[in-house]
Amino acid sequence: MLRFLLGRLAQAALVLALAVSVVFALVRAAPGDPLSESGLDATTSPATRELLRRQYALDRPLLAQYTHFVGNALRGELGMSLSRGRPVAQVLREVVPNTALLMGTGLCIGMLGGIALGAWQGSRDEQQSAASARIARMTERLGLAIIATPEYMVATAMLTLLAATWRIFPVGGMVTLGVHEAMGPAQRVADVLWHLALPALTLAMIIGAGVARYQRTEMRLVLSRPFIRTARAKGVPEGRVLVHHALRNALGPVITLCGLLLPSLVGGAVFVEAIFAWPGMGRTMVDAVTGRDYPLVIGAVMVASLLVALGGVLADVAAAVADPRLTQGRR
Amino acid sequence: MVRLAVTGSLLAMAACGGRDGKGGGTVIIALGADTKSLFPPVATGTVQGRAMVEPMFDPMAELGPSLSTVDVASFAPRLAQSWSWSADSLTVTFALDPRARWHDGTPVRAADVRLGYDIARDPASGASMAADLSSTVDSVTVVDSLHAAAHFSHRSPEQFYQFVASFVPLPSHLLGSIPHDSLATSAFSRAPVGSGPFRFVAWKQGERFEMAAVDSFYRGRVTLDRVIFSVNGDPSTLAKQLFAGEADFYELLPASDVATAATKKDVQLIRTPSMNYAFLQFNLHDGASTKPHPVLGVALVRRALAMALDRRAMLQNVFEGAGRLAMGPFSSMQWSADSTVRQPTFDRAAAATLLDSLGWKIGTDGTRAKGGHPLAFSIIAASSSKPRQQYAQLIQEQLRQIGVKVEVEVMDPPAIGAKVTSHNFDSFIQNLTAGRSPVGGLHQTWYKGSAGPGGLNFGGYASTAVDLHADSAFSARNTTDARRHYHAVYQHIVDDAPAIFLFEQPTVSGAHARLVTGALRPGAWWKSIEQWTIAPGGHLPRDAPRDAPRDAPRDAIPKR
Repeated sequence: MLRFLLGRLAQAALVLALAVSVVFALVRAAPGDPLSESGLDATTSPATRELLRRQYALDRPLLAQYTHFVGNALRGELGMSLSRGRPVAQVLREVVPNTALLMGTGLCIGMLGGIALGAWQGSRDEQQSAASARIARMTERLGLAIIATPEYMVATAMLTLLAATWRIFPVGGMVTLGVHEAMGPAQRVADVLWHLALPALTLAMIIGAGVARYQRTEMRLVLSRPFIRTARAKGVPEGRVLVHHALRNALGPVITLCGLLLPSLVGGAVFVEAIFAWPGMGRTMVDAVTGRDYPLVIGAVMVASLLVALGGVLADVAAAVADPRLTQGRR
Repeated sequence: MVRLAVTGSLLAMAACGGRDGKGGGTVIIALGADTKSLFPPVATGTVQGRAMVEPMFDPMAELGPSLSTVDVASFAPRLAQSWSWSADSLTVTFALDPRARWHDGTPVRAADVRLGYDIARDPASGASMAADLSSTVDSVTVVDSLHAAAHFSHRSPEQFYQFVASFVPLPSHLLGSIPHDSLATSAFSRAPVGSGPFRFVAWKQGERFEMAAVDSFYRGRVTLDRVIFSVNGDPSTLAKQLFAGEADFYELLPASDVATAATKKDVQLIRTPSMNYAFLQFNLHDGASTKPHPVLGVALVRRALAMALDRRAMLQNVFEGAGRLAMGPFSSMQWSADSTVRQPTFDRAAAATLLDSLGWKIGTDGTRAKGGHPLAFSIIAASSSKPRQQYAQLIQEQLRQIGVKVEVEVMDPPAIGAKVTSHNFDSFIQNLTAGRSPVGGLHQTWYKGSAGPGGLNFGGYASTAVDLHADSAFSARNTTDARRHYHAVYQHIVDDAPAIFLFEQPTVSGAHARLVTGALRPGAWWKSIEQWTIAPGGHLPRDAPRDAPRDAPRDAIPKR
């Protein structure tokens, strides 16, 4: 198991190094740099601009910039953000917890909700109840519609309906401005949760819709297996058959999906954060890309790649725990 | 539930209506972008930086109600309560207001004026206005603790404005010992101590910035208690925050939200003339070479193109009557603006005849050509601007009618920056924000040397006549002479057609009905923030008076 784990961690480190190197090259290949943009729009003088170019090492050859970056990164220094005028690590330290809160909440609600919904949908056909099967089909179609709709449209629709029109939730931000600071500790937590609800719900819907489809298919597959028939023949109560026998066996692929969802979640969070004005990593990344803030883009990509790589490792480990044959190289 | 609980606990306080039961209140301003620094010489390089920093730092003097940059008598005193001129008009001595204090209680003194000036003209500090100051002012000296003198290198109608508008005094007791190249990243740049009507409270970059009224402000306390900037990049979300009452003011409503805003009874639309003017700038050279562009290098061809465009129809099409026709390389809000500049007459037939006479004949494919070279070029428009994209398409269609083939390329601003600074383009639609003074814009865009690094003359236009008249305008002793020379400069540029001047887009801001802003200053809406009030009966829970927030850094709260 240890060897398996070390192997997966080595793979994750390689993925991280590759992702960061590719992004380093890509952002510099994109036309424009932060200082040429300011040349267009701001009053920054040529002397100041040249000074900034030297200060941020943008006047050096690409290879020299890369080796400089790798050397610093290995020492844990991610450089200074060009658009925010302070260390990248400091910027990320502020925004990563916000994203973790949003993603964590969205992932938990989405996974649990998706598993529950998928398991229920899968068991409805089995029970052949016309009304509940109809409801199950309706929820399946709704889920399919969510999957087919781009994330930013789902987020915009949620914002427009639940916040801007019906005003059930706040439109954006993480706290109620002008009031939050005057609240007591419990009220502050409640205020953040209130602001978290809509973006997290949006993410959960996007995640849950996908998970439910996997879970439903797997549930149907398991319910058709002989051991389920045997359990029923032995007189095991139906609820126990569904939860203890069927659902437990149908969870394996969904556990793997958990890890694989992280990359898409990072992408989804970018839109959700931008639309709900959630001060997280996704929004920071969008601003950094737009402003050609190279150090911040690369720093954010490093964190995102780390999340994705770790997500993959965790999923592999969880799958290996569920099925020990995986660690022995055979199924 | 949470909302109800919070509302319930604070509503009673809010009903009191701010401090002393008069005015008060908290205004939330939605902004599309944050500043990278609160250090004034750096922050004033962007609109959002100016909006955040200028209410915290008083300048020496401020433009008067006429907004004239040449009428020195109209300037309003700020940190300087008066000023006097030397006989040769090359020195101005400012008398500081002895009541003026930094937000930590230290008096504002002449040494602070000199330090602010020294930092602002030193590129090492990251100052955005370094070049402007260096070309106008030789030095600033301390006469005594309450008097500072500015020594000018030459006389010009705007010398006073150029000095007072290019820097703010900075606290020498806090910054005097910090090397200039470390100032932009110093603790001061994140929690500044200013001298203006508002003091810094808290800043969470990329999220929110808060400032509060200074109770003992030397010019008198402002009405509002607090101003909070909510920073969020998505324009549509910002508009929704305004419509939902979560924000009180949104400086730049997107065109797509203006119609919705007009239907909301809680939202008032404020239309302000803009300091921007947009134009189609041609590259007069073949790429980065010194060879003339095969199509756009000929003045008569450019003039024909200008004549073929129905600019009024385009203006109506894009802005539905809300825009203004750009008349030349200036904003109509500048004092040198000149409505008498002769414009190219819209006459498509005459344009076609002119092109015929220049040898550009229509081929079988409907496109003109000369010596095998088609009359074709591309227009670059910014992906961030819908009006500019619409204009590019309308120009494409109108020029097609006289046999000119135009290709439209839509790019993001950094990509456009890379293209135009390397002169790798045919034409692009540029939207310039003009300063109050006409000098900076001319210097950067049309004057000699502006084609070089840092200039905005990406098309490589050069005209001896323009340079001579510009020199005369910059150094004219009176505004009448200056206007005459500016007129000549503008007329030469319009006639040479290195660009076709298209439109001035008005700014449409949205404000909650409870907010009383009065008229906003074009290009600087935050200048009137001192006068903003909350309408009677318009107070909300967030208006409840309170001290600095609990999470504000202790060292950021000025001592009293």
